[in-house]
Amino acid sequence: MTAYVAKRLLLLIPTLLGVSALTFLLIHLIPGDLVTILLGITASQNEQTRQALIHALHLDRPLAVQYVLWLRDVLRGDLGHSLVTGFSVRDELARSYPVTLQLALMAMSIAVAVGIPLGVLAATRAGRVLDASTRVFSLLFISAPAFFIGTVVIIGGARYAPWMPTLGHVPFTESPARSVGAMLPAAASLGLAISAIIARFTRGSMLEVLGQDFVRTARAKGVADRAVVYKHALRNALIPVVAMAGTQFVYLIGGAVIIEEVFALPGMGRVVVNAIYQRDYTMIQGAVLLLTSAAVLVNLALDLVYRLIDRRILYT
Amino acid sequence: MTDRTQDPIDSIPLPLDHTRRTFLGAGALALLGLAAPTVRPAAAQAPKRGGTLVVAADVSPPGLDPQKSAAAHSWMIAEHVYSTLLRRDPKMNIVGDLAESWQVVSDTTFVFKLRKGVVWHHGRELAADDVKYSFERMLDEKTASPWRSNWSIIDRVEAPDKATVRFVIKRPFAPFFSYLATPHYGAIVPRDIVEKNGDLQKVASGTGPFVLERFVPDNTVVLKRNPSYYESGLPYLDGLEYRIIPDEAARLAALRAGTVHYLWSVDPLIDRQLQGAAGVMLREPDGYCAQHGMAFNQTKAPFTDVRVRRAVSVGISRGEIIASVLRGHGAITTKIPPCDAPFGYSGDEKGLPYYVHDAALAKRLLAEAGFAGGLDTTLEVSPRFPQTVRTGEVMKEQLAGAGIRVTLKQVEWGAAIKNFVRTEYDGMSMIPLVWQPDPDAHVYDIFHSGSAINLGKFKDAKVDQLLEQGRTTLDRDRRIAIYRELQQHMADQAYLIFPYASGATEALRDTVKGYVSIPGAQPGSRSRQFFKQTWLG
Amino acid sequence: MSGEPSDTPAPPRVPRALRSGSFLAGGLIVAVLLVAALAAPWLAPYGPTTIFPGAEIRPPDLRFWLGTDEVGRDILSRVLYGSRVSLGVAIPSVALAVLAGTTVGVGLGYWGGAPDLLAMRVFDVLFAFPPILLAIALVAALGPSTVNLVLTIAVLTLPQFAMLTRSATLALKPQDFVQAARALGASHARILGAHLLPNITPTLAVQTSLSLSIVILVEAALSFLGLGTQPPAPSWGSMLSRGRQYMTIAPWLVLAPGLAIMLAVLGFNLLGDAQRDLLDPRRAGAGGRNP
Repeated sequence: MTAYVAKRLLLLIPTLLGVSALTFLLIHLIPGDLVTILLGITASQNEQTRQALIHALHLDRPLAVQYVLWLRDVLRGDLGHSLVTGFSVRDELARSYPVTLQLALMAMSIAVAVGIPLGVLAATRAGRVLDASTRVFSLLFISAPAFFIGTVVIIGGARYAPWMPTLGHVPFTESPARSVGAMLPAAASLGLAISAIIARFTRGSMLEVLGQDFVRTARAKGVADRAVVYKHALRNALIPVVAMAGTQFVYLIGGAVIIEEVFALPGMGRVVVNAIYQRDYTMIQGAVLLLTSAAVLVNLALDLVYRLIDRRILYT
Repeated sequence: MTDRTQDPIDSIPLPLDHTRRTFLGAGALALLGLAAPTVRPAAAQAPKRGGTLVVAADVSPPGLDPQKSAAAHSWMIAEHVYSTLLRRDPKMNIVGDLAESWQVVSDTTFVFKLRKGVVWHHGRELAADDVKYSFERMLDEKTASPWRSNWSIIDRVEAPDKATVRFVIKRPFAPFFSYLATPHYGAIVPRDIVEKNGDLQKVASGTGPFVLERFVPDNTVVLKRNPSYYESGLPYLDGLEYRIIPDEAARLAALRAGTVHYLWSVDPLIDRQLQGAAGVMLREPDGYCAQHGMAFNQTKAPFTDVRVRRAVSVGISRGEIIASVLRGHGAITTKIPPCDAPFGYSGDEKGLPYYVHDAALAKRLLAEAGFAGGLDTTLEVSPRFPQTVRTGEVMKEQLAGAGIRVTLKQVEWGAAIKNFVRTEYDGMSMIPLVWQPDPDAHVYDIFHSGSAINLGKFKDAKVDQLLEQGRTTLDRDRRIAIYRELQQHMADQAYLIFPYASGATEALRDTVKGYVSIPGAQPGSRSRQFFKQTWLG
Repeated sequence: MSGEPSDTPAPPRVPRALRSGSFLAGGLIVAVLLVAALAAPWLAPYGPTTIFPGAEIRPPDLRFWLGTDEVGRDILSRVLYGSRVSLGVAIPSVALAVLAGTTVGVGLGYWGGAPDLLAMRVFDVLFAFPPILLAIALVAALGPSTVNLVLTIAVLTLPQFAMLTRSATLALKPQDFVQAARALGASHARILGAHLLPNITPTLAVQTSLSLSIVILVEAALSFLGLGTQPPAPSWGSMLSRGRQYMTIAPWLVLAPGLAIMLAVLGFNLLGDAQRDLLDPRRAGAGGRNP
């Protein structure tokens, strides 16, 4: 197990290098001119000012050199400063990442808390009214884009429940309870769509397991139906669900981009999207490095969890 | 031209059509947007101290340094923190701010005496050296200030004593005083704080009515009252907060729910969206200051031919665009907008050559230019501005009727603005343009043939000559005549198309009293907002 | 469909599929959308970009059955033509992803070796990159156009198909029927074409249906960020994201495109679900169907 973890961690290095190189290349391919954006229309006409700024930002060096310079600083623990605002990239990420992480975790909790029970219910009542209504619920949320659900929540909230906070952010460190409360509408808008996917997936997985030999054996031995479902089948059925939820988590961080925009949350998504729009190369690089590291680590963690569950199954 | 927009806009009350007259909420005050500068409501009640006014802003300021950020979202906050030597009062007259008095020694030398006892937010007393430093900082290449070229006219700034500042400029320059009175060009910053922090992007210390307390990007900017502000008793508010909410639907919802007090919107449908919202009132634009501008790539055919440009100019119906895209809330314009009259043009289409819609004439002009079978071209617009996209969609339909087949190309803003100013698009390109503090600032850089950002890369000796005259003529009436001639000539040659001027509507909670502003096209819809006189009832 | 086991051998797939309600419903919905897309010019009362000055934001009436939008265009016509745009993005991009992804995945799984190891690292990179960000960066880099949108979405979707077919190939490779064919001297092409691909196809079909439904939503999300279909061409996503603003005063702006998106996603999902139910491993027999 230790060797496996070590190997996976080592593989992290080429992955991150690949991601950062890819990002670097991609971002510099985007047409558009950072200098014009920075200086505004009027000042950008002054060639001297332009060149001075281009030089100060190292934009006159070859791409490969720019990349190596950036990489060297990162290895020294320096993510640099935003080209647009001059803010420290590390500070900006330290400020915004917890917001996105909290949003993703809350959304995932909601998704799991709603999705798995619904999926299990649907599977045990396959073909009946409950199954059908779960399906309708799932499809409703699967097919509605998150920005649309979010807008409905905000507009509906302001009109029918103005006392309910739908917008704005309270840092978790300031007041955990208020923080969670303020983020609930946003997390629900994001989480419900995923809960629908999880419900569908759990249902499928459960049906599969319920049909397998050991469940049939258990049933034949006369174990009460409920015990079969919850003790044996559920545990087995959850393995693929865990794997699936893992991939969803990466998607979730992406989906947060849009939800943060709608609910005005000061998270990573806003930072990255703005950085892309403004060609803020250092900010994009830092943010993508952080996001992908997180994604790779989450995948690794899930993989380990998966293996743990798997092993337990082998030995029960 | 439709009935709705027939009146000239700048000098008489706005035409109100039936949809706009609806005032919102029970007992909403008639906060009518009248002509230009407006002071309202008539202060029947005595102003009350205290409370925090919350503004819903759409974009997070990319830093707060007024001398480094070219973004209007930075200045709209900085203008409450920093002071200028001169400022405009709500009637647009230039008056002293930090300058107590001033003397025009010659056409190129001006001496300012500073107000006494002004204290920075960090406690030090304001000195003439700070003023000198502020201008030298903008002129320093290393600062990369967007305003460097505006002030390149300055030969030197001197501080002979603690309370005196002397400007010497290279040649007579008509816009000089209006630039000094423009919050973002003329902000006076403290030398010690800049030197300690490198820049003023995240920290601030000014001499203005509000003190920066907290700035969390993408989230909030919190300002609190400056207790030692030099206008005694002001500001009335204890604080001012800009809450950043990017989504317009969410901003409107927040206003409805009462969590924010003030927002602005360029969406002409805002009144219908806020209909029935209790305690919310709308303020019409005081004047139409923001324009859309469409440029032609004149480095190659077909737009090098004036007949083709004229065909586009008469191929669109400005009145119909104003009626449908702006629902009537806009005006015919040139680059100098109607809110800047008498410098700006403020009449209907008939007063300018090739402004009246005439599809037959367009076809004739095209045929003369050798495009009897019509013409295919492209128009770049950016999805960042839905109004621009809508305008493009309507123009596309209109031009099809004149035999000009337009393909709309949506280009992400970073690329769109660069393509626009550098003429790196195929056929045509359109972006929203902002209001400028002086007619010269409106036109000089984008019309002059020697400028790198000449829009469309056209060359016209007569235009260049008028531009030079406009900037060096100090007599106001002669200046007005020069810019009038320029606008007529530009319309005749159709070097650029300005489909309309528009404005932003403001929505306020009815507890907001004493709000005063100067028209302009900056975000916040105003060129300057006097929140120091605002109070919450 | 119950979870009851069935030990009888799988009956031929088509009749079984036809008996499935989900399959029928899904197929019907998708067929209707396809017909709408193909016949839009005959079905739509007006052009999708035709502007009726003075008729902005009209509620549904006899002239405009589904109302008009904020610049005065007929919503029914736009929704009908919108099916061309939305499906015109979804179908080619998924088709491209399936073709390229399967080729890559089967090749990697079958031959393995160094290319496989390298490709796995590349997929790691692609999987770790939040897809919406990759989409934003790609579309911004290429410039928003329908073709670039299709390419971008294909790139985003491709790794899933590659991974899926790769692992399926890896699972099938050691199995008897493949080994037997090999021993009998069948060419690689024959083994891939006659033995491996037919066994992968059902799994692929499920993933294709699900991807189609996801891609419709991706297009909508990109439209929200202004990177989707080019105006004035109507796509459901851009109609929804533009109309969303006005949903309190003009719900008809979002109702029609919203329902259209929902229908499309529903249709593709039902098809995918139905196929998955049919593919119950015990019934399809993981290694069973030796041709």
